[in-house]
Amino acid sequence: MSLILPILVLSGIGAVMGAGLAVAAKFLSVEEDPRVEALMEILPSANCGACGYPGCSGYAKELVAGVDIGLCSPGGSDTVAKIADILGVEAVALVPKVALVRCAGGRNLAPDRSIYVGPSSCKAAVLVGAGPKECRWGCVGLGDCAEVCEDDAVDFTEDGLAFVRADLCIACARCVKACPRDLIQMVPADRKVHVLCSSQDPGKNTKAVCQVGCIACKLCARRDKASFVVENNSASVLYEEGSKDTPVAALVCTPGAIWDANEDDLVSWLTDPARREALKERQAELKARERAERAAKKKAAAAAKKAKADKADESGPAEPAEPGTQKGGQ
Amino acid sequence: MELLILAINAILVGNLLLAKFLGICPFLGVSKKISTALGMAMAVTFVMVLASTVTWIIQVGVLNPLGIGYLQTIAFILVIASLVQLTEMAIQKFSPSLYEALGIFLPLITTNCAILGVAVMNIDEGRGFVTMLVYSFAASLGFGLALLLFAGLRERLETAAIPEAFRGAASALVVAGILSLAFMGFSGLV
Repeated sequence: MSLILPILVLSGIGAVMGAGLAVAAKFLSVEEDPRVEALMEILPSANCGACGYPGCSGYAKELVAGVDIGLCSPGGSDTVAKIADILGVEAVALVPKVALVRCAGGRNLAPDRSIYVGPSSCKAAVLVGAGPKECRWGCVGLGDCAEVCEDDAVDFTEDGLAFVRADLCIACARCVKACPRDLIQMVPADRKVHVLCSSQDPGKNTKAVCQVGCIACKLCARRDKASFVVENNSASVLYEEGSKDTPVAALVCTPGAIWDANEDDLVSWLTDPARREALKERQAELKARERAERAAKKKAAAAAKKAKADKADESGPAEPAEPGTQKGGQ
Repeated sequence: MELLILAINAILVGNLLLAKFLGICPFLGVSKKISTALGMAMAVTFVMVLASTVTWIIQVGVLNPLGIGYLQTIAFILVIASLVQLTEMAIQKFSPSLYEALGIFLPLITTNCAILGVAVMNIDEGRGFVTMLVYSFAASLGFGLALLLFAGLRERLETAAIPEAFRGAASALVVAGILSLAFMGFSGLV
């Protein structure tokens, strides 16, 4: 009896409460949009936050309320098409993005000035005397970005420089938040030409601490004003509308801080020591070619001028017969 | 008169949050905005009064006569969990925005020790039905008062120029401590 009574009492209380809740659930039920559940099914469940909403469920709710359907970068175009299908709206073209580490200065090109001993974290390292690197803008290479990357897309060169493997990147933008130096940027995956330097030091200072740092010479912006901007001593690509890939900018960049994916893949561009020698040669070539072109143009222009002058000489006496002059004479 | 003293005691002198240190989780969790804190205070008030009433009835009417008072904790938790569920449904129905704002802290009222604490205290102190009702209501008012005061302070802290290392949780905890010290000034009141 002493055993059965407590069991009975507890089950009794439970049953009463349960019944009460069941009744309440009937009266207080909230009608949820069935589309939310359908959307939850097709979203990638990465809960990465790339869309700017808390998790996939947050985005699903906002989608029903009518936000931009092209925000799920891990899902890609397939997901966008499915979302459009469920919501009954027009599918938009999703511009796939990838993360890009905007620093090319490994230890060999942008040397350290001190040895950092401490927790293996960029965030901790940059707190100590502005970081172990001579360049106070560059990649520290302790891997805070790799830590947060769930797809192992962040890798390091031999010289301790982080870079993102575009084929593995799902564009969740976690690394963008993790980098204490704000080096990582989400860029459209179809773009080929990128500036890989974030230093905002004056050119002279940058040159002193890094061999591949942007010195803000503005040669790139002079080639294509719509695609490049030089602000705060730092060149960057304008990825918005109206801008395009300008491979020649990569060629004219004095320190070689602009990467052209058409020419090199990222790893060899970052690590190949012969790369910069080759760039110098190609820059000289370009210079010679353009000089020759300019000379040819000048010559052609001079020839055309001469021809025109000759023609003018011949038709000189006929000039007063022109209607304009006649009118002026009256 | 006795009831009034009891109420003042529950609100100021023996404040749940600042003197008894019960229910610290929502105190730090939902005190970023006054509006959310107000919603939380109201939800806690509702649950606390209802839970205290039901648990008192169960204890006095069922458990004690049957001589199974040792089931107190488990039975109370059962009641509180159900009532929180009910509150959650009601809030979701009548105020979806508050439901969103309270987030995880709403179901966490289930494990809010202030609720269980008040229910158990009512039994331990041997309070009658009316005294129990007054105490529960006053205690939840005290909870709401402390929560709102704290939320107001934190809203101002957001815009204050404080050293970076002290921003956020650090300064919130310091302020909570100072607020608790201030409430100790009431200790000779009743």
